[in-house]
Amino acid sequence: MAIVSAWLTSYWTWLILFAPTFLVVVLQEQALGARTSWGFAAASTLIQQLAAGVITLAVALWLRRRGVHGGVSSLTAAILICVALGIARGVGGGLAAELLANREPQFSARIISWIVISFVWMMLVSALLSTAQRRWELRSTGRSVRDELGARVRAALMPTIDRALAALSASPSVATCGALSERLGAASERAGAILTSTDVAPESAGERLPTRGRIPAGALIAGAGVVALAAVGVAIVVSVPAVEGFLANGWGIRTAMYFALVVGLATAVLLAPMRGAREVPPDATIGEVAKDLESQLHGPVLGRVSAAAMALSFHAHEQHPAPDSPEQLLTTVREHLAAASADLVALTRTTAAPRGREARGE
Amino acid sequence: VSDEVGSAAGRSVPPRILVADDDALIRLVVRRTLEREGYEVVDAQDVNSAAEAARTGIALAVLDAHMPGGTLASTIAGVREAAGHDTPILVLSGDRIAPPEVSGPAMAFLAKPASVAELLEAVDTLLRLPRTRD
Repeated sequence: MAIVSAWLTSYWTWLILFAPTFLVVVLQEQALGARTSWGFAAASTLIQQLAAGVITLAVALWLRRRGVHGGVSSLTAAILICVALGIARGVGGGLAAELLANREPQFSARIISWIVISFVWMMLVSALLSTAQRRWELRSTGRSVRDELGARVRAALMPTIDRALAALSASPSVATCGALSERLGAASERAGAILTSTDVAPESAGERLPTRGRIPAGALIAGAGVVALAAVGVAIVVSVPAVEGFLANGWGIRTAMYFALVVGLATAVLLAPMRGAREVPPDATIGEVAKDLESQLHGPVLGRVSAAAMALSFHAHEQHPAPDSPEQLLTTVREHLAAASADLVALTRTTAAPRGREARGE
Repeated sequence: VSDEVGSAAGRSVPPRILVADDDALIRLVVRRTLEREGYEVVDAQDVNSAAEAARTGIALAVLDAHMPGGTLASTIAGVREAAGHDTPILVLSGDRIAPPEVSGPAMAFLAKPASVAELLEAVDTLLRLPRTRD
């Protein structure tokens, strides 16, 4: 499992982090004992985000050059990235304080706090974005599979239903009813077999998979969610009494680094089972979609078609039907098939644009 | 005490069969076919009415596997509680394989669409099974 997911280098992550960065900057400046204007906080946030963006871009280029996809799995690399991001943000924030507000840059405190925060939220945000993307992909695959199965069921049933309706409108003979019964029975069986099969064309199932550029809805929630964690990080590192002494010696800095490491690893451990539980195997998804569609089609469509086939079969075997019964029976069969046809169209309506002959059930 | 129940032909009192299905078309054609063979038929369209109809005394129940008001297991339990615990049951279903509830003695399964011959053969076989009066 990647310690930091591929979303680390996404420009969406970078954009989403603007809001929590702004809040952290405000908290940080207050914790460092400065009166901060909103304008300064915004300018400092912009500078820090730009600095972090440069690091992110460098990381992306480095990963691409090494042919690494799917995130950073190496703990050392993850630590180095977070340290680099922390230094970039800390230096950016210190320079902003010095140049824009004419204050002490306090680089050490800023860098340490940003290393901790970077380690926590880069893992958290990138993992949450990655999970949200995976869930979105699974939902999208589910819709594609449903469309595909629906189109196949329509193709298996609709032509037979249409022909049966046309034949039943023309006072069919007993022999014709027998033949129609067999065709409807066979069509119903084919449709049932499709719904118990998981053999859905993978190229179709993958047609509407999302690209990396699309924002999962959970991304914004993730961005907001890390604010609380970031605030905790600031409070721990910056607001501890005698923080100056703590930061002044190597022991303090090492302790802070270990703390960042522990928090980061704990986050990874906590996120691992959550991600595993949500990554449903594609086969299971297809099976669940087919089962769901089957349960919807069972009575309204397959049940009615089976009943119509059975009624026509029984009618074909009646040697001495009652004088008024054939017409009454055939009318009921027509009504059944018409209702099944309407429900079949409604229940297998595609979630995407119709695709030619398949969409018409041809 | 055992009582052998045979087909309707040649019997002074025709066996009464319960046909329970929420699909009116199935009820219509099964009723007509069984009545033509000389059986007396009572029908029901859901789980509760099936149990009520079974109280009138039936020799066999033809049940749909999916009816409103309960599961197949609850339908079978309701019918057998009303008509006797060894009442033969024929389950008709759109499912291609028999549900797990269709197991044990005096139980049979037919997938829809079933033919007249299949239905009559299953009914005849079940009615020929020896029954013990409760």
